[in-house]
Amino acid sequence: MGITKEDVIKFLEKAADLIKQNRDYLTQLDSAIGDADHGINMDRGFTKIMSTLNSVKDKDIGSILRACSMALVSTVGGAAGPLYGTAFMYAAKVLDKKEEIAPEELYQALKAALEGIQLRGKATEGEKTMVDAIAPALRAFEEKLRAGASLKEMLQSAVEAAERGKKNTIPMKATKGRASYLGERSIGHQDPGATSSYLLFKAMLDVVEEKGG
Amino acid sequence: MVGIVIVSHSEKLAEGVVELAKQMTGGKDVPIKAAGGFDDGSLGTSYERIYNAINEAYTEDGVLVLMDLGSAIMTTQMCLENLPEEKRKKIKLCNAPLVEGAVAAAAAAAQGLSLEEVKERAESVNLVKLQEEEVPPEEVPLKEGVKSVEIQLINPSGLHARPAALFVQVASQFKSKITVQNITSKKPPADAKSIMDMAVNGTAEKGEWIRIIAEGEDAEEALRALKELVESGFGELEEGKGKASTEVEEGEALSGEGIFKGTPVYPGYVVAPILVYKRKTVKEGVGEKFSSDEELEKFREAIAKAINEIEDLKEKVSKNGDPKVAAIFDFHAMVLKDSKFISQIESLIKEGFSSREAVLKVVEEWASQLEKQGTTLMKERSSDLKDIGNRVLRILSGEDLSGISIEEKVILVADELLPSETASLDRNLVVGIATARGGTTSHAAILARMWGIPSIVGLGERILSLPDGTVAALNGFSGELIVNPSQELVEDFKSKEEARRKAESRLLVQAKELAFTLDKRRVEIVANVGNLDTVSEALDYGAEGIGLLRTEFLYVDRTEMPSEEEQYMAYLKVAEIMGDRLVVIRTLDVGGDKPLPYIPMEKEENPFLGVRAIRLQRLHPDLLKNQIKAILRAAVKGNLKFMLPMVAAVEEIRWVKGIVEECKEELRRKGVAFSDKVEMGIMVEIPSAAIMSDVLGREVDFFSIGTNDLTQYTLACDRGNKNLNYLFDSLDPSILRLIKMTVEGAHTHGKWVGVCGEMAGEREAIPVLIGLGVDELSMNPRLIPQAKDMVRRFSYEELRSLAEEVLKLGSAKEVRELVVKRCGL
Repeated sequence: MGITKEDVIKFLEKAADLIKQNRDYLTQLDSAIGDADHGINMDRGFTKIMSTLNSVKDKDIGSILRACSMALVSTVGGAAGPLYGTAFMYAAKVLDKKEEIAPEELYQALKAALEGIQLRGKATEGEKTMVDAIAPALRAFEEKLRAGASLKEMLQSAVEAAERGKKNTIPMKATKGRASYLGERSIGHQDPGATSSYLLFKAMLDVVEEKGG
Repeated sequence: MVGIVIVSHSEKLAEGVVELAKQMTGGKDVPIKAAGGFDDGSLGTSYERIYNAINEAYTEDGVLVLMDLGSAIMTTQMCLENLPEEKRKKIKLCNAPLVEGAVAAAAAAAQGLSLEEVKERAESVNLVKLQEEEVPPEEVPLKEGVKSVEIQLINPSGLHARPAALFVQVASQFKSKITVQNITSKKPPADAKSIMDMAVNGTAEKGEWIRIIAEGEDAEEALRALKELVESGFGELEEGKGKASTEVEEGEALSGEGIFKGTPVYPGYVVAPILVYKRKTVKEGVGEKFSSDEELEKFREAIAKAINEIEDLKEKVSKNGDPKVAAIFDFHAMVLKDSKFISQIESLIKEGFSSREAVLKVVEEWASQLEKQGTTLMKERSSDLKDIGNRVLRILSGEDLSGISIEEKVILVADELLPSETASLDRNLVVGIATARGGTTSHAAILARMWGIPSIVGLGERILSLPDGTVAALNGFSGELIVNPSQELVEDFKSKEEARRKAESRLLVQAKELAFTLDKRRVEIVANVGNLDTVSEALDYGAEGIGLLRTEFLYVDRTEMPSEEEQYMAYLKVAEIMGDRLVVIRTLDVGGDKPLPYIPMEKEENPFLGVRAIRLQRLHPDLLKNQIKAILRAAVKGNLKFMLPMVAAVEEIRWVKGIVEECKEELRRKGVAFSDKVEMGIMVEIPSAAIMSDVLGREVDFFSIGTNDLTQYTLACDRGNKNLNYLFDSLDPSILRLIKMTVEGAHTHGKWVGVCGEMAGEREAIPVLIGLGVDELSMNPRLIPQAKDMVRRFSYEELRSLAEEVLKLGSAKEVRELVVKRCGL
């Protein structure tokens, strides 16, 4: 099953929706170990994406994602701005000039996005960051992809892994970002970045489930 | 002209910095642009503002960008990626401190310097400031003539070994000719700048009087410094004496035939034929006539060559990472450059002896003098001296002396091994080492540990008469060497060794991962580190950080206090190696039992209950301030925290907090970069701290329990006292109850608790500590793989109920029995 440009736009709408619903929750998570602005920032970023979508929705998938990247960096003041901004930018490079993509291409784009995040933030797994949700999700996605499963199964598996991943950040000690200033006190709280990353995977799955069902 | 961009989360801060920087341009039109805050006035970094500021500040000479924290850097990097290639090439990011860096960069840009130079100026602001801090040396008044002073030795070990070396070190700093004479035992005067002469003639016991004579322009200064050194008692350490006394002079054969017992040095099970190493000696040419001039020249060439060889050896050894061993060769080089040693040999040559005879005579004489000194350290020095002599003799005769030729895997047996012999061993063929003499601090022991060769020392002279090729089984755990072992024993050793290796390598691999209990409770496993050299070793063993960085190494064995700068460099090095990982620096922990020459300390009846650690720093606040400033500065580059030793009461913590504020203020005034968020914890070593932990928890960020001292103070029992062995055990329920109190007190306030005493690495203690709720265990790096394995075996829930049960038991023995039974150890 191919993923169309319309699916990508639906994904962005869905993501904006989920982020808005979870705005206060994300901020609350961030207030425990950060500067209490993750929900507000992400919401502002995705609201901006929504308002720019109109002007780019006729372009290819790469261009749409590139516009998202710019919207995020120009509205999100915290680290999430350049991190998600880089993720969208790197994914955009892979999907340049594409109007429709296969699951393999989606995987490559997500992989590039993760690489971008790690290049920018220098984080690896186990440091209580969004990487802890995204990396396992990608492994789960790839496993299903290689096993010849359906896109829905791939995303189901990825969402499950991302959910486990975000929960696994609870006992971790932050060594990157603002939370690392708290050292041991960061232990016991779920990472807001990993949580928003999970929501993005959830948005992808929702789109595919609605489409299939 | 280079442009400058200031990126900050705060708009006001960025603009303020621009304003400050512009003051430095002397009216030159340097483009300096601010990119701070977000469009809606909130805090954050704006992609657009940064992008625009870079473009506005852009000139053909390039742009230097300075940033504050986190997303400022990331967002700036994104901007660069989106700029056209030719512009991007001319933009540099700079990690200088924002304000100082901007000011320096503006001044440099105004001078028309290149982008690289501007960046360099900005990034070196720290260094410039620090150089200003240094005080110019005082003018030394010039005096002529001979001066002398008489003084009594007050330190326990007198003028021997380490104190003698310190004496030489201090004396060598002066131009004057300085001699020392023991006037109580009426010895000949010794050259105070020659370690060898001091070791032989300059020795004196506690209570004896010495006369120090100095002649030269700085005679008075020299005498003052040396007198102070002697009066300070040379800062003698109990520790040093303890080490020396672990020497085992001679082992004894056990009752069963063919079993020798010595002191184990490195663990492992080995079965192999033995090879008894016999040292070759050099034949002398007798009765020949020598030309003094030629012999002198030969001798000088040989010395130069010997020094070269030693430098090579040292390099080879230090590549393997053990500076202790490298230090042995430093001593060799020092002797070869010792003017007294050289001149004695040269004068014998001038009297008509051959160069070889002269070397042999002088070496033998000095070595026998050293042997007579009676202390272990000096005896070991005597083996060094023989080693040096052999080297020079070999070079002189062109013979090959040092090689031990080995063709199969053997257990090497020797009376003792000289450093350069051990260093030249083929490590693949020597599978075990067994020596007749030597202690656990001997060179052979140090090298064996470094290379991981199972070894035993002090097995007694009888092993030297064993025939070569005799098969022996070496047990590096028990210190037994079994000659002609039964087939059964050989098989047993083989399987034990295989199991040991497998377990070791498996644990080492798993040690790189974090450790969680079965029910996913994280226990941080970190390392205790006592000097810079073991920092990276800790990482090799899987340490997740350093839970205890002892800082005494910076303070002992020297004659003046380490400067803030020196400490800063040391902590910075640790921070650089450890990256983002936790590093807890313990502030200086010394007292009456370990005096320092540069800190006046009163003699106390009971030093362990007297002025030590934090109590000493209260009397000498500068000692603490220097250290804290260095820590705050180095914390800019890493996850550094610090903790105070021997805290008994809340006043001490509050006092230190005041000192920390003073330090920050001073650093701020000087414009030196430092971290404002360095956490402070305390050691819980005194029962009062454990009992009051719920109150102290409000004041500090974390606790680290020093179980050795806590046990000693709780049970009123000196661990070194052999008659009290039955009492000293950190698993005593009284100690466990104090640990429990500490954990509860800390967790009430959301603070974490570590344990950094020996028990943190002990198999039987780890389950109990986890069960008591301890968050972090800090231990000797080598114990880490095993400790992580322990953590992973149990669930926190089961250990909690185990802990509850042991708290109700009556003795450490009962605790151990229950733990062994429950945990299947």
